[in-house]
Amino acid sequence: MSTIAAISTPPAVGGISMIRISGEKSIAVAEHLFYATNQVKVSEMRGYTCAYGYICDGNERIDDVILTVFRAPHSYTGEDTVEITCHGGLYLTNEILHLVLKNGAVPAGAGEFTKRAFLNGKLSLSQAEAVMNVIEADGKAALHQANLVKEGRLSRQMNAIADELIGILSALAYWLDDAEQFPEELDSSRLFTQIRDIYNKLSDMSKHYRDGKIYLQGIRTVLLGKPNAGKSSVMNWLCGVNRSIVTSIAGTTRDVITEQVKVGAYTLLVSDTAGIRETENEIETIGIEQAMKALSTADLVLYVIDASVGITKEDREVLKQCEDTKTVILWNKTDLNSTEPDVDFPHLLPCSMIADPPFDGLLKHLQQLFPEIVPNQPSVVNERQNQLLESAMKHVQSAMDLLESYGEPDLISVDLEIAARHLSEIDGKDVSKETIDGVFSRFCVGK
Amino acid sequence: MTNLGSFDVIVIGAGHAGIEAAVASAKRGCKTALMTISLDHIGNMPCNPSIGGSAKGHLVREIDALGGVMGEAGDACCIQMRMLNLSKGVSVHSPRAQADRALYHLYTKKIVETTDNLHVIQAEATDILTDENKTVTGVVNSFGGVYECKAVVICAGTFLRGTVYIGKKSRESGPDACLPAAYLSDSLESSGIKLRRFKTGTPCRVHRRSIDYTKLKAQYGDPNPQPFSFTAKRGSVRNDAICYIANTNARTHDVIRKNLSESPLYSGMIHGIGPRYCPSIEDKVIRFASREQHQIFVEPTGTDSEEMYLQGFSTSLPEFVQSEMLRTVSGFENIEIMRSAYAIEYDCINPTALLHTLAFRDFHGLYSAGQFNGTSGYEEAAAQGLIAGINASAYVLNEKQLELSRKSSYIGTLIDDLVTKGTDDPYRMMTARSEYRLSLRHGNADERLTPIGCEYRLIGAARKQAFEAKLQHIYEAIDIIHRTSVLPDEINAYLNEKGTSPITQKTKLDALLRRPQIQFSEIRQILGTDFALNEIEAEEVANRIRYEMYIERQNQQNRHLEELSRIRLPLDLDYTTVHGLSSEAIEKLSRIKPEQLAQAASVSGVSPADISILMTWLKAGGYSGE
Repeated sequence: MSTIAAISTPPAVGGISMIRISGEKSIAVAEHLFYATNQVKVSEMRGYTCAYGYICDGNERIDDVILTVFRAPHSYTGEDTVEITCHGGLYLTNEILHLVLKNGAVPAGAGEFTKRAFLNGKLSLSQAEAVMNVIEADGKAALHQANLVKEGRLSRQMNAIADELIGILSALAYWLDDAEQFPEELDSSRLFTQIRDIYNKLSDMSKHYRDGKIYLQGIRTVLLGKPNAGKSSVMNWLCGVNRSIVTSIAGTTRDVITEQVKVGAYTLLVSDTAGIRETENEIETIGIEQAMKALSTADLVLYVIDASVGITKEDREVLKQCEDTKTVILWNKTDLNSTEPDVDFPHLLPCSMIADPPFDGLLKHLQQLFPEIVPNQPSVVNERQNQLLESAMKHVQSAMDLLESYGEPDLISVDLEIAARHLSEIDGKDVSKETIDGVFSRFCVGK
Repeated sequence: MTNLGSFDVIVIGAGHAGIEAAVASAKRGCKTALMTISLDHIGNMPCNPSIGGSAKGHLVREIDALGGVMGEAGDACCIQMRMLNLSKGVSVHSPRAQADRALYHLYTKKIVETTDNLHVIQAEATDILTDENKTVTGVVNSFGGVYECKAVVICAGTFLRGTVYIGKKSRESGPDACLPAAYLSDSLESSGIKLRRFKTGTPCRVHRRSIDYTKLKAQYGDPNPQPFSFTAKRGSVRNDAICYIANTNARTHDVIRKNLSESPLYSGMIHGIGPRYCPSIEDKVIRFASREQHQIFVEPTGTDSEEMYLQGFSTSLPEFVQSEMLRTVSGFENIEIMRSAYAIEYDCINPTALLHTLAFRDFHGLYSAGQFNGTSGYEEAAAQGLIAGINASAYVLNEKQLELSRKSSYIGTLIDDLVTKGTDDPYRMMTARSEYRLSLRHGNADERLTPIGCEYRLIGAARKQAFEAKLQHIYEAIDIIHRTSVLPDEINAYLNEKGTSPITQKTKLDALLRRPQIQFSEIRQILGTDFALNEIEAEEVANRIRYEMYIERQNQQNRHLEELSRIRLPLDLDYTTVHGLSSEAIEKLSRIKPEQLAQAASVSGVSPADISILMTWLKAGGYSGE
């Protein structure tokens, strides 16, 4: 049986989340992405033991986590199982799941952990009834989810592309099967253009998936500003916890800390960064680099300016780099001897984190900047769909490669069929049947 | 009622399905009767005088690989042989033969007459007798005679309540002026078998001398053609007949449009559902109005016959319109019609009433094959006939029933499509129907199916030995290729000449052979490796190496379904007792009664969650499946 993985905690904002991996390869999968601080390898860990460490994507640290190993048959499913407990937040948890899937696990189906537990004899026959209920509940939830997904724009787009592919497949099937009537040579340059067109659409969608994820799972927000402008106070206000070290010594925030916070209906994934400042301190330089890197993938900049200092040359330079990103300036510390805002900027919010936290003001700016976000939208984009999308792209790419290298048309048709099947999996369209119906409805079949 | 004898298996109908069923049953050791309305129409080809074609050629090769009749008969009666789809990839290459239809009748008649254990009887079956357990006990003929038997295979073709239409005139008739089977339908219906109406059509036969061939394009057979049978040598079939291509034009289409009201199809007289792949000329003109011309293939029906068959020109329009429209075609100005085009409507079943063995679910010992099951085509019929014949005899002999998987063959795909999905129009095989098409080549049909033919005693010892030797040669060569590497110096001159990139380091031979520009035969010469392969074996080796990676990927994609197809569902399963199934799933599964989980999964409205529940339920109940 394959190795499966899923987020096992409810898809809601919370303190921690848990990802469960179960199956023969679960320990190998975990070993690929987990680095224990005590240097012990996952494969060397005994059952029922935990380790603290980091989840890394290559050299990039994603999160610090607790990893627990269960050795078969002493686990819920009866298989080797690894549980990764990470910091809460859908965005982060999904990133880790994505990494787990990338390393060889497949997404778990509805009720699959329970099903495996049952099949492996972990649940007795007398518990069968209970198992059924669990799976039924999962099934219904899955069905409900499927219905939501069906209405999703992305899913409709996937369907439209699948239909286009099926159209091409029908033409190919007709050409392959109607030996007598059709010219023997394939118009490969036309076919290539059609397939490339589909590939581009898929690749756009894949990009949109990342974007869609922003809107659904949180607006990637980077908190910038000169040292001691009050960024950490902003962070703490947003989080409602004392997370960053707030001191008045410039440069005390060195790591990038990501937090998921709610502002009205909006979810912000806020990275608190080291103050932007020319510095010779090595550690701090790294922090600044990270801040600039966070900026490059951010959807929103919250730029904090100390009103008592006013806008400086450095601020203007950094803001210039933020030109392409939606930005709100927090004109902070208005309770102190503040200067009047002397910048012409559409989204400027005078505030005092200490005396007058600007909740309504920030919400108003967010509503202006992100009017397209419908709060609490159903999760129309998920990792499973993204996997299907990526598999489809792989096969379309392979069909293109074949065409370019004068590969046989029958091989091309199989690649395209597999791609269409991946895209159609969400609503369970029968690709083979539709292809054949297409042959008959669209072409004048000779014999 | 008189008792006219006692048999193990009775096959009703001696068309392409019936012949295979009867011969297989008899060869396997059952005393078998083959009943037909007319001994003079055994192995008749009432439609096109050809065997094979796209995907159908695969079926014929598979029938031959299992030890059936059609490949051998097709070769013996061939007058022109071609391999279709040569530029489209080796998995869709498909052989097609122009057949001498008079000879085909005589040849197959001789086969059934000379097969041991097989008794050929001219009689119309009017009633199938069953006992209180719905077990088959005999067959009654139209004069009241009774033949006792343990199993029946219905291969009634288009005969059941056959009605022939030309224009708006109709009469009760089987094909080619045979008597229709007027009574068997009543018997089947009274046993609870539901029947429906399908229709099919056939074009005119015209006189050879009435065509101006200088205005037509000629089509010849292949040099050194590949026969159907794995026992025949390449180039051993007769191959001298010529076919021709004519074209309709705007004037033809005008005649059709003007006379559309004369068509029984367009005026609503015929209710039977016709084949989508084989539209009548009036259908083509109406549905594809933008096309300025349609091809007509002019095919000889035999060497001793002056009749020419007009493929692509089937019609239900009346005789006077047929001649008027044909005369508009360049080369047909003086056309002389010998047999008019006609449509035939007939009773058939919904094949979801059958199991994968082609046995009726609700009976013991009742099997069916061919057009009666909702298919179309001689090859589709023969393929089913062979399986039904094997299984009817296995039932009598109390041996294991044969079920071919989708992965194994087009025959398996055909039967799975029929019994799982049913069909809304006469079913024609197409390569696009198989998700395993890369591995279902005509050239490896023997490897896929001959071992099964041996197991079911349809393949003789000499053929078995030859087959095993061939496989061994192929496996050895593939092994050598996988172990061989090539140095740049040895091969780069050749690669350059072929316009493919040179290699920079030692490279595995199989990787080179996967390049489309590379020919195995040429590489063999360059490397001088002795592979000890004949021409056909060498082609097999090259095709296998070329496709092996793609086939692996294809199989990977299909693995999930394959696993599901191995998990059996009890046919008497009460789905209402499976806690947690959606009500839609309960309703549909109770009606369709799938044989295995893959079939259940293919039912619309049955969700993956339902399949999970069923899977768990099967385990919980201790039902082991396989």
